[in-house]
Amino acid sequence: MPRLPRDQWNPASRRRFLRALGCTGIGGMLAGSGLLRAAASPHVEPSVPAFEEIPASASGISWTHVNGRSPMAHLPETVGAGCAFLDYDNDGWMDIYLVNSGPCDFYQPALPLRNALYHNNRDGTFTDVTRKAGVPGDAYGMGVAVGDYDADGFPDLYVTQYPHSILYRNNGDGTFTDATAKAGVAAPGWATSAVWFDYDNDGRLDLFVCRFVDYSKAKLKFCGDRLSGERFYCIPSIYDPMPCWLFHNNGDGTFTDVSKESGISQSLAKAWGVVAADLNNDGRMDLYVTNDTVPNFLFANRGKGRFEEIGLLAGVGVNAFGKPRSGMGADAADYDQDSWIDLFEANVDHEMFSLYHNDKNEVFSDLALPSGIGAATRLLSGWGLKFFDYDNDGDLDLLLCNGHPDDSVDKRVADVKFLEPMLLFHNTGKGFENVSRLSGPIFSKPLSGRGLALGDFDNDGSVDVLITQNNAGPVLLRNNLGRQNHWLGVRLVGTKANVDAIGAKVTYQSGDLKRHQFKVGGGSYLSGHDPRMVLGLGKRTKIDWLEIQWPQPSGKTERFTELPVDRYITIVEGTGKWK
Amino acid sequence: MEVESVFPEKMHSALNPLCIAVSAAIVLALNPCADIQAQTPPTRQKSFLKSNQTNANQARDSSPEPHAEADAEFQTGTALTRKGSFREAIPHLLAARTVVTHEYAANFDLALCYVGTSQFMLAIEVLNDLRLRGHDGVDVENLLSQAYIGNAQPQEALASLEKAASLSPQNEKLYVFVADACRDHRDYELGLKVVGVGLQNLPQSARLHYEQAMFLTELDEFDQAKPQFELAAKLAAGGEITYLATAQQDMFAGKIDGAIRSAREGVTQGYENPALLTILGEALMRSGVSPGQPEFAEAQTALERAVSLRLNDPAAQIALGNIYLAAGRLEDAIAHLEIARQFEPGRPSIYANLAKAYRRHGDVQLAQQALATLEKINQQEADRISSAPGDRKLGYAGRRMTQEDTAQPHQ
Repeated sequence: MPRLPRDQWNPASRRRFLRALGCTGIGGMLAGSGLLRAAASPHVEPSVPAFEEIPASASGISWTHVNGRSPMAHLPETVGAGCAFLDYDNDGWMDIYLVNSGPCDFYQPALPLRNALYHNNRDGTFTDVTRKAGVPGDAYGMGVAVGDYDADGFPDLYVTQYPHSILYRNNGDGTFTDATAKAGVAAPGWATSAVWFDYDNDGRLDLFVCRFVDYSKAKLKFCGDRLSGERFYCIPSIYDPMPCWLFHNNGDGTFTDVSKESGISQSLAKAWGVVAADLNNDGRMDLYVTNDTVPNFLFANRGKGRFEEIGLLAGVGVNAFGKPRSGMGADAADYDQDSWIDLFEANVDHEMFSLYHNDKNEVFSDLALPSGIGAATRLLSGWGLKFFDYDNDGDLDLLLCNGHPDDSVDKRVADVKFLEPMLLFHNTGKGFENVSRLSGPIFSKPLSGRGLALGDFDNDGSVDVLITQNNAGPVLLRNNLGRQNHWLGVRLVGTKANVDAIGAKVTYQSGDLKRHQFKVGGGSYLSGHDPRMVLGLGKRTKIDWLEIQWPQPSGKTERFTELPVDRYITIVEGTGKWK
Repeated sequence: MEVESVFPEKMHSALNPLCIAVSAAIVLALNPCADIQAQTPPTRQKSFLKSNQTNANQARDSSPEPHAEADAEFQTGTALTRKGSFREAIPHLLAARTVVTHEYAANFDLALCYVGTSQFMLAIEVLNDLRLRGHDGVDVENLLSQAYIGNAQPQEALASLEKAASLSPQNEKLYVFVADACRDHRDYELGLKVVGVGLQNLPQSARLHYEQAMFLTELDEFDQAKPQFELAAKLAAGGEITYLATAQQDMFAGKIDGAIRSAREGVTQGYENPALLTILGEALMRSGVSPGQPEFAEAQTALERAVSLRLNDPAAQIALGNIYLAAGRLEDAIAHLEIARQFEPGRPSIYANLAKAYRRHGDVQLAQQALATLEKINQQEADRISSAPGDRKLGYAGRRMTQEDTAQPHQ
């Protein structure tokens, strides 16, 4: 790290190393119930890697993200982009959507850039169908959220961009129509992650869109070396926060911007990540929003279209030292099976990531330290992440992709790299165990990881992973471990409840194993996921029963027996049967 | 005078406790006048008395009753000063200073109280007045240096320190006290200069090398701080500083196990330094221990001991409050966090954890008040970063460098 003359010391750069300490935060270490102590159980290295990279030559995914890195160091250049698994043609096989940069006031690509939609050929390869589908994007792309907002059975795409976003309505014939103007969801500004969910329990998918700072070419600020003129990416502190958007689905293809009346716009954000889940078990979907350099939000849904921001009060707003962190990726899941959904937040290096255990009654405790996740993430910067049961043993594990946002960090900060490896934590039922080293060469590979999407692209019950990199090609990972256990894949279709069944709770019993999973909205970073839920059974070969608690306005509970295993089924709300 | 004796008094939120600690220490180490109260002062005070003998006699002759009153005021004022009740001492000392026999002592203690109550400009006036009267000894210059630091006059502070150093170059505490004042006021660059002056005179001082390492770390120069920590540890030759420097270095480097090992060893060796105990408690907690584990009990014991040894260290108070919070002892947690708040009201971690404690205790309104304060502090910090010059703005690579509330204990 170069030493600056004393008169050039950055007034904001003091206590770097102290912060490294401070971020650990013993204050968050409450002895909450369901504490998962870092496990000491041995994890046997599998004969085949748990995750195996499928090269572009094998998958046919030759598309590459281009960030348009400029000497001016515009912030959007370093934070994108996202990706999604979706079955756009309803053929039962997960397709892939990838978001790219594009023209805007600070960037005019020398060669045209576009997003990419890859059709799954059902043989491990994909075909680029972007042109036919008509989903190229038209600005500087960030992320994507997938949801069937018009409930026609075909998933639609909301692509977040700078300086405006796009809603692609799925026509059901392999093509999409830009419905942004009609729908009224352009969201002018810098949009990042987005999520489809039904906030008012009317059975229709509404749309929440994260907004980052007030940004434009004209508002670029100088951060860098005065003598050399070299710029680096500014910390977002110096840009003004902006309110996020909430769009109410009117049910006729249009949306109403309810950001103000819902209370969402009262909280000024610098939002990267969002996940929708019922965090207080009141039957209404709440929102957890991770912010960069301002406190995270927990928008508690109070009904009647109103949200109350309680992030600080709930203990998820700042770290134990009272400081906002650099919240990036986010997810929600009940990892300890206590029926209360927990939260996860990825942060930048030296901050450590946060595992927020839900202590009930809108109170959370950060258990990153006792879980071992804190130490493992101390030097990393995390973006896409997701809880899921990668080995189908019935417990929700945690996968994260990482990468520092500053491409000059290697020469400026010791022990921190621009390219960083992924992390995999195995949930042993007693704690999280860092099994990255044992899970394949990909976990030693430095990546500029950003988006992370889950999807079983080969339908073998092992949930696969797609990682996007900044200014590089995506990484498609085949999961080799999940199929070594038994499983049941479930696609839920709401009828009275929202069609994607966001907010549903699925409980199942298989012998001595009783587990439940909540279907949350969104999660990760800039990315969308396979809508199907995969229920792990371990070595058990039979499911005794499965119960679905459909979200409001249905609220109905349906119970199923005589279920198959090791295959996918579809359950349509109210039919009382699966197919 | 024991530092602890300052704090049984009702604390006033406007009081800067760190100044109190420093000043109280000065009373002990540098100011024989305050230390022995109204006893016959040493040589330089004799000259002070001598120079004012005529006036004193005149005062005594013309109005013996007022003199007796002033004497009583002086006794009360110095007693309060010794207790650390600076705000309460001030009116008594103001009354006593009119009597020439106590002029130096009363004025010095008055300045001390002004520094202790963050009334730095008034302290500077009193001390400069003493200087003009020829009382420009090491005590005055030392206290003046601290007052200048409090008043954001670094050049004047350094000049006073250098003058004090010229009078008593081998006095390590002189540099340490002024360095402490720099830390309290977060002027780490000045602190580095202060320590530099000290090291010119005491190049083998383990303590000063340790202080230098601490300031370098504060200034984001940990790479340069490392050899200073190591040198301090070496020079201390197995003494207290050896363990402190090693533990602190490991903490900064994120080597929690090493920090635990060094701090634990130091404590085992009998060095019950509050800072070392605080590091031990903090490091154990950061290792991820939970209530019920032996290490959790060890951390709690260490922090309780640290607080008992140094009540006025906000870091130790916060750490103890947090460990009680972790243990579910909400009322104890609140008590210690509230004490920390009185000592250092600008520290964000206090409010984050206080809010948690109040929330869990069912005092939602108090929790929200704490959070409102937290938001205000963080906004001030955000504004400070935002208003930095362009070439000093923070990049993504340095974002963690933003000023962080830490558990750094006071040495």
